[in-house]
Amino acid sequence: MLVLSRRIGESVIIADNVTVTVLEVRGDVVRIGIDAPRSVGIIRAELLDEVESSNKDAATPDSSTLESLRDAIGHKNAARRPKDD
Amino acid sequence: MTQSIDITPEQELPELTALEFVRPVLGFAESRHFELVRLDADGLLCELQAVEDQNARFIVVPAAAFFPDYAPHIGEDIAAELGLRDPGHAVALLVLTVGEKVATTTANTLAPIIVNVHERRAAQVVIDNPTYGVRTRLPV
Repeated sequence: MLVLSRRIGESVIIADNVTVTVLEVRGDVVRIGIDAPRSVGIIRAELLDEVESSNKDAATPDSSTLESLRDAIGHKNAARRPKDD
Repeated sequence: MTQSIDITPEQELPELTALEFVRPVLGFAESRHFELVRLDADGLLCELQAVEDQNARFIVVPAAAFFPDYAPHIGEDIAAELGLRDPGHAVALLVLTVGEKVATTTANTLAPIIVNVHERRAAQVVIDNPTYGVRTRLPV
């Protein structure tokens, strides 16, 4: 990991088209601004961990609940369909 | 030139599809090829099974059937990787966490699986929007 120190208002440039600027420091919260092309995805890191963890939980679905779920969805869908009179 | 797009899926899911994930399902990086199989007659409940890893088996639902206003915004980069030129070609699938009961089953609206039905390509996309979450109550 490259570690740098920056003061408020200072920036780092990544590749040739991403600029990260320290905007504000208040207590233990650092406000940063990121200037990047729309093609570059930017995401808060903890969201990736949250999704990975959720995926791992989801990969072992309970089979009896699955049966009940299928029934419940079937009823919901049947209720939605217009009746043929 | 692809643009970033909002997915407002109305595309119907086929009965059985082999999908190539251009971005992996997070936590299952080795799995790139999945089979999407309908578990019910209407395609409202589906199974997404990795070909390479038996343990990578997910229950998914088409977002539109349960969250009609759900319209996640997809960035240019991902749209390009999916070969999406037309939002009409895309379906958003939500991974369910199927727990002990139906009432506690939740859907991941934070990271939908966006499928380009035409190209048979898919990606799990994390949407940085505070209204979405990994455990959204499923309206059943």
